[in-house]
Amino acid sequence: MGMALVDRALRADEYGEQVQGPAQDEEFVLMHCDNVEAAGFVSHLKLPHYVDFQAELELIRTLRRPAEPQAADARPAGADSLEASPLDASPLKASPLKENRA
Amino acid sequence: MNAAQPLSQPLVDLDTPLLKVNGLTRLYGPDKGCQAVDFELHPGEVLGIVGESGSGKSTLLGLLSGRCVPDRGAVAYRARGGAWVDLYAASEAERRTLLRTEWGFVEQNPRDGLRMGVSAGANIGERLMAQGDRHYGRLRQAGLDWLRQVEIDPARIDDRPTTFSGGMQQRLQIARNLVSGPRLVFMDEPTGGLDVSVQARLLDLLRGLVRELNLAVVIVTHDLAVARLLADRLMVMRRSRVVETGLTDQVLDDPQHAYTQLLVSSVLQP
Amino acid sequence: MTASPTTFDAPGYNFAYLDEQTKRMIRRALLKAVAIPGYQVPFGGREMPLPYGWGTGGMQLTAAILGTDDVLKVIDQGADDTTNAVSIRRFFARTAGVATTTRTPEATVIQTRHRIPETALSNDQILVFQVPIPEPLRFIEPSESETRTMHALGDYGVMHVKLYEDIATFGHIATAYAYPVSVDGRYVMDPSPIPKFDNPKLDMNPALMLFGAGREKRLYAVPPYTRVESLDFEDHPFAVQAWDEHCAVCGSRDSFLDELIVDDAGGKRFVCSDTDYCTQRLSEQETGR
Repeated sequence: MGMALVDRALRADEYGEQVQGPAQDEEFVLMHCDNVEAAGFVSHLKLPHYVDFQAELELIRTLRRPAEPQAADARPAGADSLEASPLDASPLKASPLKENRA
Repeated sequence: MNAAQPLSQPLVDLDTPLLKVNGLTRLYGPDKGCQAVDFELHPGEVLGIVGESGSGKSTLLGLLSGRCVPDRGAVAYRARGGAWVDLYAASEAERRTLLRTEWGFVEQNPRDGLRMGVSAGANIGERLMAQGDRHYGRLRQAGLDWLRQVEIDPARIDDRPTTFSGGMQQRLQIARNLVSGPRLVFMDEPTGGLDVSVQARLLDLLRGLVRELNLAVVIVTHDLAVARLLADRLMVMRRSRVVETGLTDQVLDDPQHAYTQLLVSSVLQP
Repeated sequence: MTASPTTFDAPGYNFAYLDEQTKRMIRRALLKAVAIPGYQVPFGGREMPLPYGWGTGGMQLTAAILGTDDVLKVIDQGADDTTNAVSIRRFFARTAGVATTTRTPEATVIQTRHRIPETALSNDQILVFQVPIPEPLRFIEPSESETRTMHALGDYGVMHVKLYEDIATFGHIATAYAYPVSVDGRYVMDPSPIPKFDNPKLDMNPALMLFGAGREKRLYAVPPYTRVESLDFEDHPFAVQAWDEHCAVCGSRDSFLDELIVDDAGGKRFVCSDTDYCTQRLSEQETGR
């Protein structure tokens, strides 16, 4: 996992990413990954994270629920609650997760 | 927040200045920066600051908007309640609040004035959220209204500014500033870097909004055509000093100072 | 299970590992934190025999407040028996000789990683949280000096920008843990990566809650009976996770459930994350109470 993180951090150029943060700067990454301050983060990944992942899983399931094949009037409880919505371009179409807005 | 605000100030307020500047000075070196600037700005008035690069216009704009501290002089602003605020006697918190509510600042490069990583709607709504607006539906509606006002297709409300053209980004920046109903807007070369047809459209929009919303504007530009179109009054700067001021048409058609004459004559006539 | 205090057998080490001056410094910082709920107070973090990321912040706070009569409980993701919880508990048993326990009501100090116990806490208890990133604004503003200014000026519009963006993109606020809260109506705080399910427990909790970040060297606190509100919109109110299932062991419908895959066909069982809570319920049911 540690190697994967460092590898990914050094690939901003390859993926054509706009370099916005220090983690995309090769010089910064290499200078900062090998000292006492950095130690511990990668090994801490051995610690359990299942509660955090459970929370994320529950969120994803909630987001996916409205994607069940229904007419456009199936509005989940937590969705955009504008009454007369002029939003034809609303992202709340059948499958919100398919909209890649990254 | 309604896009079009009716003229709510009583007429008598238009006589009282909105901004009073006295002896404002900040120098980085001999004749670098600005010095001894005095003027008053009234509600709804557009003041253009023109001059070549290095004349001190951007420094002056920075001093007026609370971004850098002057060596000498004072800037006083009449806040919404009628009370005068001495800009540099006030706290950083008060200055930042002013900049977020009663003032706007349109940056030359829209990337400096926008959050490029969030949607257009979020950019427009931010000032409202900062003031405590907590209703998603209303915030979204304000976003749609303002996109229409600045002639951006409302369907783009969820798109990031990175997907917008330069002209659209600039218009989004204007919307982001105007959503809080400011009375005074500072603009730093808002049309710089845009090509001519895009510039023309932006200027048209600005002119319309300024009149409709009765905005006071301080606009820095090196482009005299922009000054002529937008500004009521002009201040010509050269090497940190104001060399001439007056009504725009007077200054541009009948320049008195030798430098102004030079500036005006060197503009290419189409 | 409660272990009685042992004579602490770590010769050459001070009580609870840290020297007294360090503990004084941390306590002073804690007092400041308690006086300003939710405000991040810098402290002089010391080298601990664990690397960063393993709970050094929480441990320093625990070390600073432990006394010989305290009873310590340590949990990780709700469980007393995960490696790290066991190690930290043993560490304090050896360096401080304090009694340790797995029973929430019997503990005076509870150090936790990423969960709040299901059993309600009392006014005599202190909950110490392990915090990785103390700054709730970090994701949107990388500069430390800028975030400090934002906290000082109460300039939190940008937090709601993030929530707005979530709703525009997903239809829901997309934060499942480390959900930001407003403390006492003033500071916005990151409650550590507890699931948002636990956020309501922060509000008006009778216990003192302390938060320690070792790598970042910041600590903060929520005093007992403090208003803690999760950020949301009027028309998109904060909501916690819910399960259709109940705990397969004790039958609870009110606790945070872990999902366990039990066979290759993807069969699932749901079990309480808080092991002590689950064990207690089970034993109460078995003794017929």
